[in-house]
Amino acid sequence: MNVFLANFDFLWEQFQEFTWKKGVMIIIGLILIFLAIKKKMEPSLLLPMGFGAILVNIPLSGAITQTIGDNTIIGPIEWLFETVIDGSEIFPVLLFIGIGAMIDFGPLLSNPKLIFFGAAAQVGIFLTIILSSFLLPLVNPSATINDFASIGMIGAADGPTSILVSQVLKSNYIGPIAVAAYSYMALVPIVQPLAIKLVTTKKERMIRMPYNPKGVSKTAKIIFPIAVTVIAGFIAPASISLVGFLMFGNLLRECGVLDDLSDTASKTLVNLITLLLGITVAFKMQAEDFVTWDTLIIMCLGLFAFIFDSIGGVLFAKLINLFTKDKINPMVGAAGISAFPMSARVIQKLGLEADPENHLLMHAVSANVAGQIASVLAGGILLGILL
Amino acid sequence: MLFLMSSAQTQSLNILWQGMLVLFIGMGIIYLAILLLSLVKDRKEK
Repeated sequence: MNVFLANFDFLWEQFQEFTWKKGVMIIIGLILIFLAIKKKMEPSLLLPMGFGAILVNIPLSGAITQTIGDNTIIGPIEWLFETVIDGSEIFPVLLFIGIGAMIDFGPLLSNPKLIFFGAAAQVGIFLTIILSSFLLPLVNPSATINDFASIGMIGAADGPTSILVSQVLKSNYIGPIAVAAYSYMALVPIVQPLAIKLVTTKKERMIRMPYNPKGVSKTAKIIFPIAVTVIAGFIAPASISLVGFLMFGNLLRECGVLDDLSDTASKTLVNLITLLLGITVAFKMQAEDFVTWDTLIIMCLGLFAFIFDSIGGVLFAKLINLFTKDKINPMVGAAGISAFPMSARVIQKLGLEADPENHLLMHAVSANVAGQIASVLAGGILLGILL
Repeated sequence: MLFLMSSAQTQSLNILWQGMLVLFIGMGIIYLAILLLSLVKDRKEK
């Protein structure tokens, strides 16, 4: 009998590799899948990430590279991570082509003063860097300014930028940062109203803003992405890989002669990259690195970043209102975060909640697309300062 | 207070003002570019 059971020793060895941390990660993977399917929270990312978390945490998983004796078996998820994120950062960059092809900058071009809300609503990034520098060393004394900056980038409300910046800065926290960035983006409809109501009165939320869009010529829409690329290149050269590809996608959309490519970029390319990005990032969700106090602190800091982005935008709008006759609804400032288009929709909903005739959507969209530019610019500026 | 801070904490404070300043300058230049672009008309619009 014992001889017979000895044939199954390898199974026992595999079970011995199972730790409670791996169990926690598999449960986290299941929760992400549940949120994606049942709650429809960023399903295109949370589902692959959730499934990937399960794949990489099964003991001796073939999804990650294993060395058994003299044999090294290459795991596909580890190979993907090393090739397309660690080796080249190409996935987040390619994703930007698709995002650029999705965005219509028309509302911003017809109402350009709202561009500054995009900048103001990035303050959460920088405040979070400061807070990280105080909190993270409590659990990890060897954490560096690059780690703090990467965590701050969760406040960009822009998953690809957060991943790219943390990767370029060689932060060890890319897994928790990606999970926090995408989870909170999905939670924008819950987080933003709370943050906005914290710093606005109902009277302020009722402020109406007439919408009188100026016509924007097709030529202007074509020149805009080229101009932004050049300007961003001079201000923050490190941002070119982000801004440049975003604007390249937008140029495909606006040029009018590459509709098929624009369509492919905004649908097929985005879907393909998103599918692989989620499962690739899951490589950094291995139990020993993920189930730590650091992760818990990063999740809290990510929430702080999102809240203070929104508050920063609102307070900036209030500041502008002190000097202008035509008042801006302060909630529009909160749309300056990059979570597009969820944030604009949230502001529209809050506006209608305060006054059923108060339509803020187009103003919020303007601030929202400005936030898209500002968040990648902020990422580039951070890289420029730290590299 | 400042002398009690680690170099990383001081650096993060510097990043706050440097980053926000450069970001506003960048967005300001893009704003000026948009104002210039508003003067651009399509040929048939002239």
